[in-house]
Amino acid sequence: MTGLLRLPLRAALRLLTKHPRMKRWLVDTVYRIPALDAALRTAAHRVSHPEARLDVDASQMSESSRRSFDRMRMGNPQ
Amino acid sequence: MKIVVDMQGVQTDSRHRGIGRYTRQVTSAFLTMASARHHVQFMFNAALDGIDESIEMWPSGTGKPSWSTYGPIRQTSSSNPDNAWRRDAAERLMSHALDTSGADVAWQSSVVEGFTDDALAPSGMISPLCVATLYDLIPLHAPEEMGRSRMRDWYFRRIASLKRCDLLLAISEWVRQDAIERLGVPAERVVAIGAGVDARFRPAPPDGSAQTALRERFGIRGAFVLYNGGFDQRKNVDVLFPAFAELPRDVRDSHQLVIVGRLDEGTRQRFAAHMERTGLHAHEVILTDFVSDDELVLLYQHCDLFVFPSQREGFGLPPLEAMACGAPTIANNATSLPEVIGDASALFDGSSAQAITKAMLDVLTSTERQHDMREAGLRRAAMFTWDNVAERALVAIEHAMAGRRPRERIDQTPLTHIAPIHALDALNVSHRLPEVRRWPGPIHWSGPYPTADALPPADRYRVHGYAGLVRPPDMDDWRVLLAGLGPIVVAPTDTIDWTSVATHPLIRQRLVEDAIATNEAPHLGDDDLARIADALDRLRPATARRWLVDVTQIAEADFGTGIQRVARCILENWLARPPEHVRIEPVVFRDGRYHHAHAYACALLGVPTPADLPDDIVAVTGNETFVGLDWAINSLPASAPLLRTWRRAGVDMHFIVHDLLPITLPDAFHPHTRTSFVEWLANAADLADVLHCNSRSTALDLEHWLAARHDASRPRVTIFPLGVTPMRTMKKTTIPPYVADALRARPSFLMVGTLEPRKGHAQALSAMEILWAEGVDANLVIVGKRGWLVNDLIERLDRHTARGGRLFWLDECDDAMLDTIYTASTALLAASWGEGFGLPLIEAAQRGKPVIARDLPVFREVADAYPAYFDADTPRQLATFLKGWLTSPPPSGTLPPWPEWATSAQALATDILRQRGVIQEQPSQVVSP
Repeated sequence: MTGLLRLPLRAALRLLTKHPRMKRWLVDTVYRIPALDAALRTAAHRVSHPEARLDVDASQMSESSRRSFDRMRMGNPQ
Repeated sequence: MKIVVDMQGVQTDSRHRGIGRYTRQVTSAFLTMASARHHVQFMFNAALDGIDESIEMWPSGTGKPSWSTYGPIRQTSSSNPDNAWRRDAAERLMSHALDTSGADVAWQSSVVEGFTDDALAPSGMISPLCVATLYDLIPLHAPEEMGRSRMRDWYFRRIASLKRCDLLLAISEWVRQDAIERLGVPAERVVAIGAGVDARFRPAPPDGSAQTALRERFGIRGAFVLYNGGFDQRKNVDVLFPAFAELPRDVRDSHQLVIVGRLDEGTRQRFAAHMERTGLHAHEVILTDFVSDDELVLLYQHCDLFVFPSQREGFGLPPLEAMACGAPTIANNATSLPEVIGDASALFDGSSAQAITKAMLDVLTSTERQHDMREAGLRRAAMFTWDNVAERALVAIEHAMAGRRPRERIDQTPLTHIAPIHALDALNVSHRLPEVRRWPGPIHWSGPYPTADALPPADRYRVHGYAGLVRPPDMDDWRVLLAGLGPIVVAPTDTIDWTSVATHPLIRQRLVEDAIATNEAPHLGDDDLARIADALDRLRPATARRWLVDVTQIAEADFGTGIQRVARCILENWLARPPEHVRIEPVVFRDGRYHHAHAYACALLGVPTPADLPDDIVAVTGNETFVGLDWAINSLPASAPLLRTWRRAGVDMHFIVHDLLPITLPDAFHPHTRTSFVEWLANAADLADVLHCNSRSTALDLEHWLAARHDASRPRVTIFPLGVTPMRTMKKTTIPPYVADALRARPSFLMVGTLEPRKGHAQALSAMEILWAEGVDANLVIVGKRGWLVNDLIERLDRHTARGGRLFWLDECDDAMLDTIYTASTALLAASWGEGFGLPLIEAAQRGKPVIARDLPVFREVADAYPAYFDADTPRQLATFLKGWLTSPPPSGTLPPWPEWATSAQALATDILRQRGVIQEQPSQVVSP
């Protein structure tokens, strides 16, 4: 997320915190549109919890974890 | 009995509220109380904060508590529908973590978490006895306040989790009764354990300074009525405004109403409206907003009355805290509050402002009543201790365990579906192994095992670590290898005991993998699934404890420095002869992660690197010890964030501090080196459980440096002896003829070490110039590479008229040549201004050569009385000493015993094992407790 988007989003979150009724109205309204609900909540999460860089990813795994990954992707041996 | 406590109650935002405080207090008291009889282990969610703070708050005297983590799986909060699949997989992971922890009891500190944070609850039933702290069910009293949507769904999922628990530990009798009524939980499965009050909540000492502090900080003029707590609807704070306004004028004039709690703008406006409506003036009501704990204690101690009108409380900590501080306290006659107050005359009807007015008036107008209530409150509060709470919890858990019936395996997945039977024998095992690794299952073995030498080197490493590459193969190696890949069965395949098979760690892991593969994996991206797979795989119990030895610098370039020689010698010994039940794993930090350093380790051992052994990334399980053996000055600042996560996962941290010379002799180093060194040392000190020094002098320097940081948690500092390479008969090599002639012709002082300012070469050369001018015929032989900040010295050496006659500088000198020069020299001159150890002193002494050394504590420590010590600030003083020594050489003192490297490596290993409690006796050389 660019800094350009982060700042107004953070300000909007602060505003909602100060006005619980407005927040409740927004939550109850957006709840009816799941895709929008998910998108807004993902964006809000990224503003307050920056992505950590210490996790593994699919391109960097130990030999043993890779096998577990492959098994879960493939399902079962039969 | 093993009791695992899930600590998410101190990890989410709850850690800043009552749940966090409750969890911290009760688990600390429980650890102290229960650890004598049971194994108590804490379990953290690695995706959440609060682990470091928890580790630091555990009571001393219980040894190092054990803890573990699972994950991290981030973005699992229930508020976001995008997280659903990730959360479901993560909750299977959490259940698996509890199932495989070996716990008899799993105690969840706070189940109702995870709506806006990444806290998790177990999915379905778990194997251990499932216990949870129950704070309240207040949302069930007014479900309409939850609104619609996700929060309600989430809350009822958590309620379902609570219902599945074998035992609920309610924080009050009212909560217990509420659980029986609203959850339908049998009465014997809910026990009230109560709550305690922290020791810092106590009556005021006789001191008049508080009034001034209260006036200056809050504007409190004199007597006051206090409220502390939240401002949501159930707290019923609004009723205080009309109740206070209805007090008689004289009482109102002599008191203020002080309301403590974090205020948002909406609440502030609401209170302003109440004041206007009830005719209260601004000077009569003080809204403090957030106050510190110390300020809160002060307010409790000096209020004339504490009033708490809340309509619903799970316990009601503020009135208890107020009573513990000696405040007359009145509260609403509702929910748990009568249990806390314990005095019917101090209760009022919270729905009536008039009733509150009357209750306040009774206290505020009677000094005698105030006095009686203070005394009664103190007696009542003294009954609420955390030790009592912990004891009730322990008794309830022990009682529940005693009556527990073993739980059957809940997952009914047919094991044959996910764990194929591998029919193996000596002929097919080699080519079937990759398939067995890919799809673990029961191994049906027929006939004898293959010969031990048929085990490929990579598998010998997998069974025994690097030691397996240098020691003779063992007949049992094949069996050990196969047992790690699946349960070995010899019975006919149609009579396999699948219950027994299901206890194998890999089969248990397969059960979870299969559930995730079927349900969540199709909806998860590769990176999400990779994190689940990695977290799942790391929960498998390790067969041996691993020591991850950081060799980042030396594996990249071994310059043969003294520090690198120490690292190499110790690692060589550890690799060939690891401590019992320990696997040594050299690791290097590369591309932001630690990787195995198989090639470097094999090169040290002098064996070929097994072809099919990848230098893959290191995945930690918590059963590891990290050893910063080398001086990783460049890589540690970069790797420290990753090491912090390892530390939180339960990895012990040890670093070797070879010296503090860039700090103690700053002028002898580049500014950049000084900065880098301080950064390295600060990171090591922040991370380490123990810092190991190779001399007492370094340890004392380190202690002073640590003390100056004023850090609350300091690592332990210990000392281990450095080893000495035994004298070997070396093939004598030729040295340049002009040097050999000079060494034969006259006495020679030998200096060994890199040319750098602290080595004292400049002063020694000046001293020799004085001697030469006075007609003393002696050589100065300098052996060592060019270092840093020595341009002037090099220029002097290059242009010196005595160069090649009586002055020699040999910058390329191998061990054999150095040995020859040692033998031919008269004495070693150790003129250093500072050293971490002083290896040349030992090398010279081993050859029977006299040593002339500056009087440094570290030299006294290393060489004891053997050298002739000098104390010279000027070249003239050194020249006088050397002249006297040449005229009448004193006999060398007694040689102290020096250990070999094997002994040194073992001593360091012993100190590291001691940290884990593997070795119980006190270390012989602990510098700090």
